[in-house]
Amino acid sequence: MTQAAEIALKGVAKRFGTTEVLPPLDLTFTAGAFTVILGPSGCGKSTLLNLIAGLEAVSGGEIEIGGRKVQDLPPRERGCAMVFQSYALYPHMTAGDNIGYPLKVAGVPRRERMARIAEAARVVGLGDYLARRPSELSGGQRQRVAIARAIVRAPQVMLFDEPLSNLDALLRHETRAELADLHRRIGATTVFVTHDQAEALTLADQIVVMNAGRVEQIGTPADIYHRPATRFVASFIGHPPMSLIAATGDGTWLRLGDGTPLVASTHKGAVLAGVRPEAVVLDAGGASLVPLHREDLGSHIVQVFRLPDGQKVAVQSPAGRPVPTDAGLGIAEHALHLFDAETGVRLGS
Amino acid sequence: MLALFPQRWLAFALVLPQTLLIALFFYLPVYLAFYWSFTLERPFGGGSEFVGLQNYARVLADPEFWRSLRLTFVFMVIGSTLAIVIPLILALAADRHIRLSQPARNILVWPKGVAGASIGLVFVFIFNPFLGLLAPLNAVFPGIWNPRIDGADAFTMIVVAHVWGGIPFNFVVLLSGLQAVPQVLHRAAALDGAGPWRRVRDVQLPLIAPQLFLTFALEFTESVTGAFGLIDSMTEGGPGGSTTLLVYKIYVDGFRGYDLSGAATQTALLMIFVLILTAFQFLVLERRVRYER
Amino acid sequence: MVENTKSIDRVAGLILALGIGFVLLPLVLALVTATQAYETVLTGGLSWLPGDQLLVNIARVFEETALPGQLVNSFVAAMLVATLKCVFAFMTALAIVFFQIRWGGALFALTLVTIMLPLDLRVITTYQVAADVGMPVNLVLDLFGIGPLMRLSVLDTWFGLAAPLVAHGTGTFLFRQAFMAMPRDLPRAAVMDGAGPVRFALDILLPLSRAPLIALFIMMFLGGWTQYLWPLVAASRPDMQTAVVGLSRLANDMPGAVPDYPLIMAGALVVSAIPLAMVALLQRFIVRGYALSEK
Repeated sequence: MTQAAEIALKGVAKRFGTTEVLPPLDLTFTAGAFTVILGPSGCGKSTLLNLIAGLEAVSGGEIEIGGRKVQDLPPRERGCAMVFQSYALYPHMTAGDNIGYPLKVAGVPRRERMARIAEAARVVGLGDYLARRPSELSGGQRQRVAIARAIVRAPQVMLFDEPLSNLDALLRHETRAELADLHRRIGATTVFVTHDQAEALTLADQIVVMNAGRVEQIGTPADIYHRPATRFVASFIGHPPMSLIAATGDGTWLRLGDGTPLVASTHKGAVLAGVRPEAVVLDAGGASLVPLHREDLGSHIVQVFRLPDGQKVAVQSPAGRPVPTDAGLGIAEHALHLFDAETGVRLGS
Repeated sequence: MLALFPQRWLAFALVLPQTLLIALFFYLPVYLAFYWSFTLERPFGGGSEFVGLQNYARVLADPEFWRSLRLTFVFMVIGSTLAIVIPLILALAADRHIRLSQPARNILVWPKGVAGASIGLVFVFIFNPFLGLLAPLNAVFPGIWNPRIDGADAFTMIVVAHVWGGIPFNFVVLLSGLQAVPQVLHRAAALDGAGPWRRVRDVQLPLIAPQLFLTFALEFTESVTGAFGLIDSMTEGGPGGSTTLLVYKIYVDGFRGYDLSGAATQTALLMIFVLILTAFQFLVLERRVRYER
Repeated sequence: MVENTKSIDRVAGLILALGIGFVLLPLVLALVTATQAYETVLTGGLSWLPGDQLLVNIARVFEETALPGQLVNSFVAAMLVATLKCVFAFMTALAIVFFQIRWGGALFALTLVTIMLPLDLRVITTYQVAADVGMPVNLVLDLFGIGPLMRLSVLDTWFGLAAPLVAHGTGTFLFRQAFMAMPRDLPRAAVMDGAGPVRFALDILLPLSRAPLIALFIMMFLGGWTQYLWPLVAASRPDMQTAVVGLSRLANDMPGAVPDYPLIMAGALVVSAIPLAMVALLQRFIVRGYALSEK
């Protein structure tokens, strides 16, 4: 068991020349928690991870790990270990030597090293492959070696840089469960970077959604899904994504561009009304819908409709129960998400 | 650049040995050549005197200099062309994966192991008008071949030796370029009705343009400077100066004539010549040979 | 190939045979001539039939000429060139690629310029520098009106034979290419594992750079061995000259109208034996080195 440490970022910023990659940022990663940083590629999530690891220098602000200011320390003194997307195994060393390399650098005697290599290999479930070179291992085995190399030093902080994206779909699913299990046993504070929402929703205690260098929302998977803080989060999370419909409120109704009432609301002014496809209820009295196309996904069916003013809305229904094509749109009040039309920020509760 | 390590003093220490050597044995000599071209330098450290452009005026008024420069240029054009065309033909043949391809790929690299000055001695013997390969020809037509008297014969002899020494690099680079041409392009061109000869012209040569450019760029510099060993071992610049390329003339003027200022001035001019040539290649030619594969 | 083209393959075979013949011709003739007696060549000229004097001629090379000692010089100089070049170029590329330095790009550019102006081009002034390697210091002292400290010459030394050849950018270029082609995460993983620059260089970078290292070493050794103009001027004493220079002097200083060709050819074989064997046996490393320098 490792001593988990809290990570606190205070005003951490990163610039390359005059380009601001990350504006100043305050963020806390709870000790022992599994935090996923989620965002599209280029949103700055890997940069954030590198700043914590010490692979890149901060342009401003402070990083504390376990109460120690580390932003000026080299990576090896920060107590972090990292698993890379490409695994970054040393091709000229055996799997065992790869796992033991951090110990060798730290000057751990050979006997103790061998014992800890064996233990780390056991923890990740790496069988009798310690004598093989990385080129003789499968993708999944390589990943286990990479994880074993990260845990062998009993780090306070484990950093993962999209470690599942090189695995095929089936293996990715399996490994996801193993990682969650591993985290429970090791207990190190874990920061996991990914662009895959399924990984984020299943693994995380806490999700940080990032876009274009800014943090859009921090919360539990349930928060993120059920109460998206911004229009970006609403459209990024969920599959199929939430339908966002531009509407204008007159105090009693939100109306579409052509005046058709969409849903009752006391809001006034321009808004984005969001509704998840699975939360749409059909109501013959609602806005009329023209069916466009249908995706049958086996377990459920997604039907896309056109609203009277030309905008689109998706409706999900269970398999075998296709949506009637003459239905009108109904949105229950508790299923409605409102966002400011200008800023994209969530309105109300 | 990955810029992982912050230890600046260590980086400095790492580059120090090579950078010192380059400063001492490259930049200082280049600087001295230009500096001395503006001074009258006495041999054996007898002091120096600033003379402005006098050295240049003297060198540029010397017909021997112009002849050397012309010979250098002719050698560069003829020597480089042959030293690339012949390996190119050999590479096209070797790329057909026939029985001789494998031995050819080994043996054609052998000249790399023989110094120009050594193979020069062998060629002198082979081209000896009375003892060599062409001696029977001379027996029938007396005097038709004699590199000791005929400047053109001597020049030819050096070109042959130069081509011999240039085979390894040019053959290997061009062959590797040819082998990188995807087979599917051959098939596509064949389906389009192009025969083997047409494919050489329309598919292979355009696609190895980067390799051709590289070999030409390096071969030009090599032919200007690398012929020294051949000249010194084969003709010593003769007969009558007909093989005195500039690089040899500089050596003779500087080390035998002790005319340091004259030699430095010619060195400066030759460096400018090479730099202009290189700049021309990279600014004009290179743009035309870049392809995305 | 695509279609059945027997006739074209036959032409290609003929071309390759001619090419191989052209490369082998001088080597074979040198070998055959080295087997003959001086008198035979004097009367019969060039002959294709081997004689029985090969061992005699080779023995004469070792007994009557300065070549044996000069072979040692060639070997030491070539080893020095190859070793220093590999070590220094590795160190420089390491600093340029993996360190946080602002001047890396500028230094790399200044290093590459050396490829454009080969040593043969600037031999006159390089010779003057080698005759007085304290020159930069002396030039500075001269500004303050102080006479030169001393003249330290590296002419007629092994170091002097090798050093100007090491002042060249190919190796740095080659290693930089190799380092940049490596997966980016590898050095980062090493840093996360706690390795400092020295450990990273020795444990990770060096083993992974084996191929370019060997290729560079062989190419530099061959270059050092076959160099002519620089050793010709850098060593004035016969006992410090390299074998290639010694052989050429031997031929030029030969009295009489017809030089002792069998002796010279035997000498040429002796002088070229080591590099030729390297080329024939380690050919794939040379090919690899060429391929690397091309990128």
